[in-house]
Amino acid sequence: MEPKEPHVKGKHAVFGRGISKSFGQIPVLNDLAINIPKGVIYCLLGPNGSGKTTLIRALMGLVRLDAGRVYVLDEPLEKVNRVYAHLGYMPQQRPLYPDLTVQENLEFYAGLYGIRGQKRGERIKEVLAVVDLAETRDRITGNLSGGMYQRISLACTLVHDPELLLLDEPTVGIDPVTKQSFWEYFKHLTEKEGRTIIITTHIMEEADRCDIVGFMRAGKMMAESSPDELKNLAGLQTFLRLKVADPEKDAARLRNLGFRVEQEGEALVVPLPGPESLREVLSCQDLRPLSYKIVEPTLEQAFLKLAI
Amino acid sequence: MQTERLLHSFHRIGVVGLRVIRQIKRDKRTIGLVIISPIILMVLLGYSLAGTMSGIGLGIVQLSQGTVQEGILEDLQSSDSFSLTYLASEDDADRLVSEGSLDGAVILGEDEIRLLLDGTSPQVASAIAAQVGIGMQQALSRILGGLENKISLQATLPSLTTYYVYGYDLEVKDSVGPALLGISIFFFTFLTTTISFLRERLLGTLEKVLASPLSKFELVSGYILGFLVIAFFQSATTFTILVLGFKVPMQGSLIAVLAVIMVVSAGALSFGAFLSNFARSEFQVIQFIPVVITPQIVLSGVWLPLQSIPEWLRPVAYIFPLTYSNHALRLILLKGASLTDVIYPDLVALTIFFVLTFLLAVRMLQRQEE
Repeated sequence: MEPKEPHVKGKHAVFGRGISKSFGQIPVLNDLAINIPKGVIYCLLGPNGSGKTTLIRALMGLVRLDAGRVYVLDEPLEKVNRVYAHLGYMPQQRPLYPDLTVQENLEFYAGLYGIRGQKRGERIKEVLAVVDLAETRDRITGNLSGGMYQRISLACTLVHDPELLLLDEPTVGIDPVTKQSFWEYFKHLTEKEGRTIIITTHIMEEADRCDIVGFMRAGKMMAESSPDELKNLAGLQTFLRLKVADPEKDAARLRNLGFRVEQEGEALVVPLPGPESLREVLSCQDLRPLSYKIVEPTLEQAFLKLAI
Repeated sequence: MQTERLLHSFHRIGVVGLRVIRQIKRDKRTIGLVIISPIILMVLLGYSLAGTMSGIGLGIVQLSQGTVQEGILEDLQSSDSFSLTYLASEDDADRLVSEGSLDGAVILGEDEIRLLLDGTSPQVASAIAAQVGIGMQQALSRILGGLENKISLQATLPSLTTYYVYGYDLEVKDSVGPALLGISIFFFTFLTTTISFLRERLLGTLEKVLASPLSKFELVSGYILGFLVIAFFQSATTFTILVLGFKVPMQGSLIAVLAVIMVVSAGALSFGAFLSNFARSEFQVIQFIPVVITPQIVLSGVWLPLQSIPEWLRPVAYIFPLTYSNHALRLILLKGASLTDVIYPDLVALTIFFVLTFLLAVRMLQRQEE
């Protein structure tokens, strides 16, 4: 799959063509192309073994590619060390020093990026607030629970305020409430502060929250688009499930208004092609729904339908 | 019931044993080390313990050409253990033994055979004294064999006296003690560094740290800085025990001791950082000890003088940092050497070792997986 446009300096956070990597005889990345504009949450989605982690590590300069032309923040991959100060990497292993306190770990990682003095103190306070672990500052990191450990790892990745974040499965093992706050923060970083975030996941619901999804399988990029575009491509729509007293009559009323209606027992299923469709349906004369539910299409349905 | 329980227990023991064998079977590095390490150790120990001394630097001042004196000289010349240097005067002999250029000297006077010995190496001193004693014995036997009046001979026989250049006779602990200071610093610093770097690799922190503005040079330097502080306290403790506890003499400069210790530590640190690239577990790190540490202890002159090591094996001793550390610390503690006295060759050699291993450690730290 070729990227839709050539590399333009200043426009792409990551741009790559012809990316290939094998470990021994096993091809892990197979002539892959990737195109990540700035200021988005980009999700690398794919099953286990699809090459997501290898790609992330390659973008960080931690894996030598066999082939490929790649730019990270406009630097060729061979010189990616020049932009390390602007990259934040959170690997799957969650590397922290278990013998140090949370504060000491954060001070260490902040120090690597030249953050000192008052600014360091402020920044540590900020990132601990983001991950909601301000009270663990003086605790030994090795004694934290798995979820807390993960959150501190994210804090250490954020402490130097990187321009481009590469997060390998950042929400694994996190409770739903914290997960929600993470996503809110990610949205804030991209929409308000113009940061770019690359996230890997194999969970469709998470990919649905992103601006762009790059679906990988067997080392190849099978699709790269926004979740809504993928759903449209699959011909999926939002639909309304209506429970009504007289399904046949109400179905006829809606068909007269031009809606496609399917009957499922006592429920009517009505696709909503546009933003005004819901209002039109509910304001249909003599229609008295007992209950209704709006059902959004999922990315999983899109991929299944597209047989990607 | 009891028998059944016992059988189950044996079975579980067998299951664990089988798992251990299977794990080691797949760990080719450990298998290699398990086979090679004992071979290296046995060969080194065998040759070192079984060998006779050679290359002992001995000065000869021949002030008399009497029968006994000639007999002793002949015996020394025919021995393979000594490298003889003929000197004009006793003052020359004293100076050269004091400097360490000679291991001892024999002054063949008319009435007195004097041995000038370096007391800091008891084994070498004993070898010289023993050989001169044998030579004297044999000369006497030859004389007595052809004489009728043995009583009058006794009056003309030269006496044998021994002087230690440093004015005292040292015990083995005094000779070994300074060397142990260097060994303990090198060993523990090397081990802790190797394991620390390995842990960084296993935790994943090494990868994250290398994917930051921190360079490999800065990483290794930072490790050395941190561990040097630890090494300082460790060496202070060991030094205090040696000098105050075991009463090992401390004749020289504390600054000189500190300088040697710091350079040894730095070398051990960078060596450990370098070798950590070849270990995949703490188990494999431990396997390095018989390959890396033990040959140094055997060959660097700690327990046995270098002169007792076979000549073909002796050059190997000069690539080990502990050889220079032992030499320098003995000079300082036992002979009162100052910092300038141990610059060449000891501090120079230790610094070269440090720089080489530092460069190797930085080079070998891989940011990229191939």
